[in-house]
Amino acid sequence: MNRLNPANRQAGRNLQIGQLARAAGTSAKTIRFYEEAELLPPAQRAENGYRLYGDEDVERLRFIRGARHLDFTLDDLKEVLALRDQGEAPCRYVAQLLEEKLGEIGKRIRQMQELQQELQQLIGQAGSLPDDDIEMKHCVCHLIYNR
Amino acid sequence: MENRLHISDLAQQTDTVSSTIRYYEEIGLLPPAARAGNGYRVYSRSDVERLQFIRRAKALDFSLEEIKEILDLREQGQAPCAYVINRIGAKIDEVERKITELTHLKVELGQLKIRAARLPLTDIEAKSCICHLIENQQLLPIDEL
Repeated sequence: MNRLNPANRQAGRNLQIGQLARAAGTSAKTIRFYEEAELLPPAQRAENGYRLYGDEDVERLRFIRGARHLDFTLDDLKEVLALRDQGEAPCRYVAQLLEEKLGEIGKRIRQMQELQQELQQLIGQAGSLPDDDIEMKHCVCHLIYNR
Repeated sequence: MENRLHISDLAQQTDTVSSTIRYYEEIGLLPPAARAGNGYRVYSRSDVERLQFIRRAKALDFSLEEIKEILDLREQGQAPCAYVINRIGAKIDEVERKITELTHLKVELGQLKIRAARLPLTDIEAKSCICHLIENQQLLPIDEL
């Protein structure tokens, strides 16, 4: 911390990337990735070139992590954070995204269940078929072909 | 004539597109196409069958690598059936895991929605709204980008 210049410390930007990572439960690599993807603004730099962060970065990063955990995409997040950066309340938009996501996940679960059912049927039927059919005409491969 | 199909005919019969057919040829999933005198690719009934098998296996979530393995085995004169059954077994486990994960996520999002419904929708500072709930979720150590 001694390496930081006083101006930065006064501005409350006294976290290095590793400290920010720990505070938000993530890694330095992820933080650099988010900066590149423009979810985080370009970090200010200390005289030695190290990135410097403040409390607002911790909050922003925790929000990003939480939203990613809930399967929000980077594009979703960019939109939400852009609204916030423009001084608009993103809450309504977030609530709407949440609604869409619930619908999508329900749909994905149904698709997966259908796939699972079909795979289980295949395996069930394959049990009564030869498993050494090079021509793939009377075996499980044939079932795939004729599905 | 059934044995002299153009790439567009093959595409139409297998509900695919020409660029996909060329790509499958490039990665060795389809053998190099025979050429007509004018250089156009020509296909036969066996290509239709092979491509149909590829499309259907893909719909069952087989990867292109797995499908290639199946077709290669056959070309080497080995029955691919045991390999196929083995992969289907693995796929059932994978899909099961995926369904469990998605179900957890759905529950979590549903709870968030219920809690968020009681909060204001116009909080720019994001201190007491849905964004706040997202920010203060239990953070997992898993580090996925």
